[in-house]
Amino acid sequence: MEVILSTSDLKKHYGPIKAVNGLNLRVEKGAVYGILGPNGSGKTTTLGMLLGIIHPSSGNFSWFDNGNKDENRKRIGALLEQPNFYPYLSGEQNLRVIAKIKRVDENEIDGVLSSVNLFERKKSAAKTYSLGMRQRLALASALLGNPDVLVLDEPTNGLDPQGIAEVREFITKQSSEGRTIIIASHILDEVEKVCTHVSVIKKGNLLAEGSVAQLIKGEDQLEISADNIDVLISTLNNYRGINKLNRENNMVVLNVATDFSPAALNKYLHEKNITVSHLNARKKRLEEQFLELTAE
Amino acid sequence: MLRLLKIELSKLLPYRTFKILFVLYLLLMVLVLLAGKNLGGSENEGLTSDKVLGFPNIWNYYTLYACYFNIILALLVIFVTGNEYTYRTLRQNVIDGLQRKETVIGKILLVVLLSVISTLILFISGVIAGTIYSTPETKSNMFDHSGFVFAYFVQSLGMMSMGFFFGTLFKRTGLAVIIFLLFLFPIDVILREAIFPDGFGDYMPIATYFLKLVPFPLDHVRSGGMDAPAAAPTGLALGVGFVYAVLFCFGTWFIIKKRDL
Repeated sequence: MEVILSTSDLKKHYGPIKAVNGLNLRVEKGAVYGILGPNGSGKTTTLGMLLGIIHPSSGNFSWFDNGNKDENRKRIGALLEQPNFYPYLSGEQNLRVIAKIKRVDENEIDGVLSSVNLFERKKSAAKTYSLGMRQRLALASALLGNPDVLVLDEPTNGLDPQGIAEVREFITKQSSEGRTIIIASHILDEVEKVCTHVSVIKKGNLLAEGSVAQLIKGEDQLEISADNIDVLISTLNNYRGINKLNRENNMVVLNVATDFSPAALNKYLHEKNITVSHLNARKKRLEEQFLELTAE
Repeated sequence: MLRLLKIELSKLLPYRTFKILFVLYLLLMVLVLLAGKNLGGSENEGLTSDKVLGFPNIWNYYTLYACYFNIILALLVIFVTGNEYTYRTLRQNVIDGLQRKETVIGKILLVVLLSVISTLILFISGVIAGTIYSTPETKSNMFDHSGFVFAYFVQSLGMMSMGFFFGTLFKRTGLAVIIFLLFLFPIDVILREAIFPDGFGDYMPIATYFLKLVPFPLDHVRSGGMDAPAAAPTGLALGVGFVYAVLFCFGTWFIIKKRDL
């Protein structure tokens, strides 16, 4: 696999504060790579270093196997924290500035504005745009020059549900066109929905890295309880399709395949004269793992 | 190079504050000439319109007043530089692929362009006013002392470079403007009179730009009238003024190179 980005022992220390503490990441071509971590975990600092605006304290990174040269960024479309524009310039004028910076033909501007539904408003000053529109303008500017990689930092932050859906749709579409996408987010659900790979970081340390499928392991969890827990457990031990069984206080937690039918289990237990007092499908394991990993 | 200048101009030309300040600057540059139009009589200490606006003295008088308008240009550069921090666009420009070095070079090119334009305005308005007010015999001295025009160029270059440096150093437009204005008056005077009184202080930045490059002409007019040579800017003053401009630009580059944006 072609490696788009690799970092080795990347660090950023502000005095005693270790904002990023030795990250080793590896992003392959075509991935939708999520950097997941709570607020203040070093996601933006990491992206800032990768995008040339923050000097690393130590360590290295390399884009496209071409080191950390400035020219690499012309192949990257990036949106870091909030969208940044000249508020007095129109959407179109803002993109002209960026097109000149990226040495991109200004004829591309109308196309990228249309792709984010801003064409009608291209003559309005950016300061008149709503947050959602500014976010879309930022996505349009990231698309200028047909970049190989999109780097998006908290791309749905502050958006309304419709805006969030638009951004997710945008990411899926860009990914299907073959672009590699790197997303920093603290929203697990977002990463789970759009990413193929994920790294979990906290306080600048990498806690886990792998494909989303690996981390989720294709399992759901089921909580189940009955009056007599011991009988319930011995009965469940004879049921097929349960990968793992854990007793937690007065309930049992089952790890089961995603196609496991709770209804069939309920029916089986009923036939064995066990009345289920509690049956609940838990969220997927990534969240649990995330919380576990990032717990104090 | 041209690309970097184009990037700066595409940010600047639609900026309303720029348009207003630049029109104000142009108006002042032309209108100040009218101030010398009706001179004469004893209350003006022997100054007459043809002495002030005629060749070659006009170069001295005109730059003496016009140089204060360079403060407008310097403020403009502070606004434009501060905006890049307020709007976080400097950061975005770098993210979009501009080198840090290029962001500095772009602004320096802009400063040079504005200096050239303002000097051309000074030169052209000076030639026109001078031609109108000169007597036939002084017309032949048209370009004597036009060294002041070059002094004006160095001054506007230096003032705007200083604005660029302050805007970058303080990041916030308001703070940069206040410190710049303080430098313009009390700080430079304190440096000159209290800390370096032995001549060295006369070459502090503001003193160089306002006193050494464009000396006050009244004394020479009072004593010798038109026949006495005007106190043209010395090579030393021009050199020092230019070195300051370079130092301000270099300092700005150093800050931007080292800083996390």
